[in-house]
Amino acid sequence: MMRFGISARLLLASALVAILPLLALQQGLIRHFTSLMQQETTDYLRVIARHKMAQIDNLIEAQQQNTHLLAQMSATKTAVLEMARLYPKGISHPEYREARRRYLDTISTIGDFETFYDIFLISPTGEVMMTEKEEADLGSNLFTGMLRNSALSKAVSDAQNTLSTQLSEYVWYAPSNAPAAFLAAPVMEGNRLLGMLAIQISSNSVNRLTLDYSGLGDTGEIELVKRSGDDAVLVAPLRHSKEGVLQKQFLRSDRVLALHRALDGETGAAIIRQDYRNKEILAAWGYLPRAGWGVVVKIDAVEVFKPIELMRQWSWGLLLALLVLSSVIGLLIGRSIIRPVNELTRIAGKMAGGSLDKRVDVMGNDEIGDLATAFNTMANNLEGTQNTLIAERRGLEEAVRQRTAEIESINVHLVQEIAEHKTARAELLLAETVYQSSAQGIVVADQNNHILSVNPAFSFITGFSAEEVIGLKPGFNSAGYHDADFYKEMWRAIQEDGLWAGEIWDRRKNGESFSQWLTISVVRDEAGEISRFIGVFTDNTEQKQAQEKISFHANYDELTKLPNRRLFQDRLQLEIKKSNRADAQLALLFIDLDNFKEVNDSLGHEQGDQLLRETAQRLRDCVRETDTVARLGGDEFTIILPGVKTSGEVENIAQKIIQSLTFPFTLGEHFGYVSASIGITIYPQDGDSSMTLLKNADQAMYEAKHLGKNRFSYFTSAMQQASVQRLQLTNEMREALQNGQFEMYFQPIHDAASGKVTKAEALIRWHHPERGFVSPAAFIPLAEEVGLISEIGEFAFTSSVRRLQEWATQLSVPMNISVNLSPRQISGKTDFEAWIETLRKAGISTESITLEITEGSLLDESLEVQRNLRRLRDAGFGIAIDDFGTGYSSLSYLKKLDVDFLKVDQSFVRDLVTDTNDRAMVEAIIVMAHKLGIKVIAEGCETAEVLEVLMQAGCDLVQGYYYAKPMPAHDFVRYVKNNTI
Amino acid sequence: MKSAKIIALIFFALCIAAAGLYFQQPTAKPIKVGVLHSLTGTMASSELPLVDMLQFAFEEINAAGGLLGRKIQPIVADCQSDAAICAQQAERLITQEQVSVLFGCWTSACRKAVKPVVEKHHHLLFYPLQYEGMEQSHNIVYIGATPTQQIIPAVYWAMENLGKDFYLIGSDYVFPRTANLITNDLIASQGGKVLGERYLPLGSADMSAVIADLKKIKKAVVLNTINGDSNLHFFKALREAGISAQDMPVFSFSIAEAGFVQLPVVENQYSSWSYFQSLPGEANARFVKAFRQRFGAERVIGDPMESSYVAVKLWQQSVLESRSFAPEVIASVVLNQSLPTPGGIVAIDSASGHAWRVARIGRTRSDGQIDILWESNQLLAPNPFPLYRTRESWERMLNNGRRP
Repeated sequence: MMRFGISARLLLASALVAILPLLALQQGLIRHFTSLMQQETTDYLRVIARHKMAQIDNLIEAQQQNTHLLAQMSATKTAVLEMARLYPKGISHPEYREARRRYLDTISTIGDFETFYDIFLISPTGEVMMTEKEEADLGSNLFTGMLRNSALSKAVSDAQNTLSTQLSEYVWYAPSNAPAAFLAAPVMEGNRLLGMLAIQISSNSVNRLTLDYSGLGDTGEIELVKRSGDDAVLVAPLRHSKEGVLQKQFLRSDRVLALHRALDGETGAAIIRQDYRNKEILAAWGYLPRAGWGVVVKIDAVEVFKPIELMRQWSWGLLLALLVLSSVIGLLIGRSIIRPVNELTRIAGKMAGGSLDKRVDVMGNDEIGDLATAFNTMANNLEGTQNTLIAERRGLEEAVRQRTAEIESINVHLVQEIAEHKTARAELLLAETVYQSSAQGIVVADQNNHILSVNPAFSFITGFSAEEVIGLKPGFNSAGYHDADFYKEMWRAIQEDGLWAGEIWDRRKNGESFSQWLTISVVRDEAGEISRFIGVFTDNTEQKQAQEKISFHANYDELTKLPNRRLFQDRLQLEIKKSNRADAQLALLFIDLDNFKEVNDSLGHEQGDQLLRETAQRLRDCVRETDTVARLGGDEFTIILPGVKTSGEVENIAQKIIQSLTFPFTLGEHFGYVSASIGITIYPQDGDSSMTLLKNADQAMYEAKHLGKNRFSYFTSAMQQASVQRLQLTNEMREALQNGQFEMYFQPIHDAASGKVTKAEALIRWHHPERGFVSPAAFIPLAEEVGLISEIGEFAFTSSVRRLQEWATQLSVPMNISVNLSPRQISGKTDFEAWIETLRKAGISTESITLEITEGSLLDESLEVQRNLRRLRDAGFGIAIDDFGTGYSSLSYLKKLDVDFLKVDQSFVRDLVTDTNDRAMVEAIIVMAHKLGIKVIAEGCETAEVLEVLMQAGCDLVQGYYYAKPMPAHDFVRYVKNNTI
Repeated sequence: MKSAKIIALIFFALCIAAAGLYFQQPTAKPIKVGVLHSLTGTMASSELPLVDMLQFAFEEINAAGGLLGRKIQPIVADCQSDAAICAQQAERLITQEQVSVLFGCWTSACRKAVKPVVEKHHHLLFYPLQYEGMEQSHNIVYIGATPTQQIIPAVYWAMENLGKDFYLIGSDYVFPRTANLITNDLIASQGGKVLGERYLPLGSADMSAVIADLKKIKKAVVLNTINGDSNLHFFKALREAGISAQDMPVFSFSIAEAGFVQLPVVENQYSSWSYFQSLPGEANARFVKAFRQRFGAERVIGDPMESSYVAVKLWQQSVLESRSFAPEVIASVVLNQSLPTPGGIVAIDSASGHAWRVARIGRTRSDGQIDILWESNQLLAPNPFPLYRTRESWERMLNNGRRP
């Protein structure tokens, strides 16, 4: 019969209690993680979208600026005039070809031709006089010809009407058979319109930005669209659709997509139920006002939520397992309750049948225990009543029984004695057999601890026969490994507890020491005195050796299961030997993760460990089965590549590793990003021992880090030599700072127009006691590297302040000193507040100091650098950009920081007279700088001719050997006095 | 047995109550925002509608549950039409009230006084007015138009549609003078002529000199940058002198709808703004209706009011995106934001912190509302320093107060 018993009820309850809260927790957690991941991803997409938009906008703005600058250049003015003269002679006329070539050469030094598709020179009447591509549009009239309705024509006529740079729409352009946008600007001489300059923006340069899906996974896509009435039309190719640019329409009436919202001007990010493919996506979108384009950066929801889906599956499995477990536990508890109840039932049944002597075992101090106790008491009472009844009858029977018993007992006693005697003899025999055949050695000693007997196993293990040892004390063959305290403690245990057990080292007859597990027990006589000592031991020497073998296997790294340093060393030595035999080469790669510490610090050690495990796996995937991948500790890994034939092979693997480590690491719900710096040594060229090879690989790795990380570097002995020298130079620099070997020199900077000295650049000089004058080029880069630049910078600043204080009384004109500020100083811990305080105390305005920084510092987007630069700017320091033109010269950054000066790099100034490219470059820099309200300083002016050119170009300030070399402070004072007279 | 049941019931109820208390969101403190406008003095009549509009925008956000779970609590400071007082009030709002953001200022003088205060505290001001340009700050978001978005398109349009001879009249302070520097350049470059130029002290009622000029000139387009109450006197004088809009069409740059209805001649006045109340479209209709429901059916919305509304929306969008109220954070996040507004798309330029806007030109009807005659078919770039002359040259001209 089925019934719903206690057991079943408990089973159900425990399952419910265990599972229901977990189920709720699981649902809650999954919901929480889903929303968290959605938020993280949309934030991430927002960042990418913002970045993409800035790139696209910058692309167009840069072209706008370029167009504007080109139109203002004298070369363009000349070219337009020449073309007006030569174009009527025909475009194949040699003079036309020559003028065209000259102009294109000149501007190619300025414009970024990768983003131009074509460039046009157009007459005021609309004739296209010259183009770079020479497509069908060359020679046509934009106002009257076939192209009069084109975007080019619209941009050119708008620019001519408004006398400003104009951007056209992005539409199909028949002559190029491609979509295009145009920029047009008027070319003016004073108030006279010479003609128009136009630029065709390459669709490739836009597509390149939208086809770059890095960071967007397998399904990420970028949609770039423009308006077409209420609807949208595609501007750049898609990833998941082959439909053509400017042809694919997105009808608003079908569905309002993220891209429609972008075109409405919205900035946003969200999960969207359907994109144009009807897939659920996460997207971020925004509007580009300059072009009127909408941008959507998106990724499929399925891909984003994959980890959550996995987690859901796992947690269901876990819940199922828990359900089973809790059911089992419920069943067990149920049974533990049911058993005593059943027992009670059984006993009660028996008592009912008349057996009043039965009692229940009282189990447990609980309610059932109480029931059992009460039951027993009841049984006792019942039994007591019955017993009184029986007792009287028993009194009568007793007398008879006593008689009979007395006789019987005598008989029994006799029989017993005989039996005991027999048993004792059998036991003795048994003991003797055990003693003789035991594999354990046994020693028996008397109360004075003299050996009475030993068994055969003793002789087998120790090599001593019974005759040799009887009468000796058991410690006769001690190996002498244990001290007096050890034996004292042993004897104490034997005397007091009657038992001692432990590991002890003895010697065999052949002198070999061996380890044994020994148990000593005592036998006492009836008086309780010790009569015998019995020692039983086993030889455990082999067991101990096995243990060592196991510990030897700790050659593997726990975390990554890769060989650890020790095994790596063994393997490397082995591989070196093999290479020797085979006369082959082997390569050693030393890999260190860049940024690992940041990941570890920001995400925690567990995620850091996960990253290392994953790294180990990726490294293994990059190499052959026969190669050894090892982890030396921390984030350092090594790889041994035996039998490599060419350096190309090694480089391929190194490149593969670098590549594979750049992919994001999935760490819990975060992504981690690291890169790798790899040092490479080749055996036998780079060292003949494993130690040197490893040391050199380590050094090569540092070289790779030094070169900017995320790369590999070879070790060469020249490199090692260089490093020794650098160490020496570093120490000498420290001494130089302490011993005052540095001195600040000052190079006058002249106002180009008036010729007056208004500024000086502070330049450091090192008077080395042995080597004489050491060039700053030889030690400043090193000082940057080793961090000494802060102290040198501090010295330069304080010396300059002191000079300014002196000059305030010595000179009649106010002077401004330019001090070089290294990127390390700006990003480092330099206390700029202290500088401001120093100046305040010295009574010198911050405006008397100009800080020269590199373009790199300006571009550095880290908060620290930006904050420091803004702080210095706000405090009133002048800011100059050093070596301008050699790096990536970004206009928008100049605008943001409100820079005061640009220093044109010497390399452009030196050949200004002869090199037209340099001349065009400097001219462009000056025009641009003035447009932004920035003054230009030219460095390295050496001749009057160069000065002449600079003045013509409108350069504000000039510095160079033409005027003066850098000089000590007192010479500078004299120089300025002469200059002012 | 019965009492055990009751105890169990009470225990259960207590558990539920405790859980409820635990999971209930603690009532978040409201977030304070600063409103910096003149409630008294000569600017009050212009600025009070902006305060109403800000109030309207905050109420709209609060009605929808606030921002990041916190209600907005505006702290309104009275600038008393005095720039110095305005700077003090800004300092007080930032340091004592600890507001998260400032909305306000009308005149350039006010903005220039508040600028160093917000810059010192790395704080954030949303400025809603059209102004003369030539300024840029990391701590100010300029929602109103620069001359390239208002005056330059208007002058081009006027030359094509009204005539090539001009007379310039303005109040004597930085906005009209700077605006007219640009206007002069533009007219000259397009083959037009400036027949006269005159500046009146702020608040002036004496129009005799202007009327004398105009009577001599007889026919020209008047470009009017007079600010404040003087406009009433100017238009009254025009009517009394019998100068008609036929011969002398007037293009006013500092009068919006609310100002036009007060003039003696309401009809046929030319105006250039980004927003007009009469704009078509459902979004604008809803916006106007909601504002009138709150503040009265007779109320009129002009461009500076709409800009104030847009400013709050931009701030709201930036807060939502960054999940932060910190002004330093918002000052960065607001760059690159764009949003649809009753007057079309508004986008903030990341380099200059000014807004990209549509430019529109219109003419008043008899009811003071405006017929739109022209609008730019795309957003116009904010160029605080118009490109045809260098920034240095602009600054030199402004400082010396003379022509280059």
